Amino acid sequence: MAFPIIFMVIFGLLMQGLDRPRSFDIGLVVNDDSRAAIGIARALRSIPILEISEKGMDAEQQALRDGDRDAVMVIPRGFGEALESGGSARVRAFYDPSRQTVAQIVIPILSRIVGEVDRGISGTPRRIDIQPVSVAASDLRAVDFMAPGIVAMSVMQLGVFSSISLVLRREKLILKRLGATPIRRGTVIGSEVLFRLIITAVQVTILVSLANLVFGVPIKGGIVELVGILALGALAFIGIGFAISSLAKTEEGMMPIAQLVSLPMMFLSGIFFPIDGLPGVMQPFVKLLPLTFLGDGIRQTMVSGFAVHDMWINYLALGLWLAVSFVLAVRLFRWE
Amino acid sequence: MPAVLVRDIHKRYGDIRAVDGISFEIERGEVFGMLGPNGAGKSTTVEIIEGLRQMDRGEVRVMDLDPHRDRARVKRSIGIQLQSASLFDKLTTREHLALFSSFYSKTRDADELIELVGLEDRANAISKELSGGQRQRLSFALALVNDPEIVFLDEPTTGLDPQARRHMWEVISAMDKEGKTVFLTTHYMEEAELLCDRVAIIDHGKIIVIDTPSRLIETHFEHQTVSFVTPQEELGDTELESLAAVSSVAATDGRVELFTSDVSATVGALMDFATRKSISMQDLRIGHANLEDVFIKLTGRRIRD
Repeated sequence: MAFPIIFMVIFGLLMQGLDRPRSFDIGLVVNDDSRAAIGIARALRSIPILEISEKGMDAEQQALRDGDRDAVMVIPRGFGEALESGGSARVRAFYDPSRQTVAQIVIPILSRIVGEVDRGISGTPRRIDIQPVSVAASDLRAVDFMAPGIVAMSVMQLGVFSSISLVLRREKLILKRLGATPIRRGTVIGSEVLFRLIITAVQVTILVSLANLVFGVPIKGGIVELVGILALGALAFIGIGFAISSLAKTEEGMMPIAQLVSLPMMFLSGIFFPIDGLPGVMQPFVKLLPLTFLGDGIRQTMVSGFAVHDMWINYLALGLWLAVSFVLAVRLFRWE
Repeated sequence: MPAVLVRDIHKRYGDIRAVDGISFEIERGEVFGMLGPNGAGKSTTVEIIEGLRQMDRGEVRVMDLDPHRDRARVKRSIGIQLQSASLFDKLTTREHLALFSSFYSKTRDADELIELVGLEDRANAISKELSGGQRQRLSFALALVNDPEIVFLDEPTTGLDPQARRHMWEVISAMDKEGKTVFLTTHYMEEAELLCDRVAIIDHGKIIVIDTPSRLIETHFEHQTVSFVTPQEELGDTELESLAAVSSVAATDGRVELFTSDVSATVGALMDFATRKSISMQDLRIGHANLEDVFIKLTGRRIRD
């Protein structure tokens, strides 16, 4: 029963986030001083849900690539002349194709605004075209977004569920039997963690190879960095798995606990869709989830796009999650 | 220095006093048994001594060490068989011995242990495929893997069929011959009688009596028993007790037992009594007292109620 409720809540929040009017960050570059150009600029600035920024072509384009703009609208030189000479004129709207949900909302909004201004000026509608331009610099495809997310998800799943065998061994009193020998708890936990780490390494190697060799997802940051972020993430999630394992008495009891931890994260950490879609109040919270750091870290290392945090923050945050979870795991460990 | 010294230990679980002031000593080389019904506090006591469980108060010394403070040193010199044979499903007999050997610096030869517990033909079988008795024997071998000074066996034959139980007894006797100190708990009288040098009878967290099995029987029974089965429920215990030479009466499961110092006098008197009261007696038996009778006499009930 817990799962339908979790699903309902998560999707409810997600959908609400999509439905609710939110503001969009729009870069505006006006290279023309005609009345029509000024009119469009003024109209855009007067729309409450648009946050207009005008820092010049280069700065706005860079901001778009960094994910700080939802779109950049450019009114080219000669725009007014073209209109006055009785022909049609064109504005361009640059957008990031990897953030399609945003583009699908923003472009129509912009084109309606331009359409209104168009009607106001010329009386004859449809003389101004809006031309959507996908930003060439970021040639990222959907699979480039998804693949790192799937890798992050599997690292999380393997980690959070990794302690089930430990719970089973405690339930079957095997841990109690080990506790009757001079072996230290650190050795028991350490060997379990090492074993789980190896399993994760095998599975992740297969997944990354598949993404890279079959679907052409790049590894721009290099193998070493990728192994680094993956190892850190795997250990952090194994630590979380072991920390929560002492909450459960039986294997059956462990499953829902692990699911309660992993399921919401799967939807809230932006591994399958960008967290921009989530309600604003949740943003600071979801940005601190370990899966957000791992997903973002893997994505930046592989395809170097869609950044949520700076890379060093991802390393630091996963390191903190790792440290806290392992301290808890050892402290809470019970032989019986 | 005794192998184990236990002084006034207490352990409470909520309102239940699982261990309520137990004291005893086990000498080196001795096979010491703790006998009592389920829930009497045997496992709690043995686990406190092993250092697997905290006590509320009291003192425990194992080879003159505190099993909690000197956890590692104590565990190196003792061998433990838990009540349940907790084994890894997919490890073989030999792999189990290798794994547990790796926890100790001093170890015994695996083949020797396999032979000792009679698992030669199951050495390469995974534990899942072993019978209950074989699992217990492997678990016992694991308790010996570090060639311990003291071996703790918590109900080593519970749940085994009679044949497997007898096999287990042989194995424990073989180890006794090696001069090990053994502490075993059991609720089987015959097991305690057969294996133990001394027995502590425990009930409700307290030791009722400690002695050698034969002396326990002698002290409490210069007596023999005359017993019979009857469908009648109200026989009048006071009248039975006043029969010739009868010292006490116990009735369990429809069998009435008379403890007597003179069998023939009691049997004669009992016959008269039965005729007079028209009591139908079946399965009349004359028996020697055993530890079970001691237990019944001391607690008023059977050990396996």
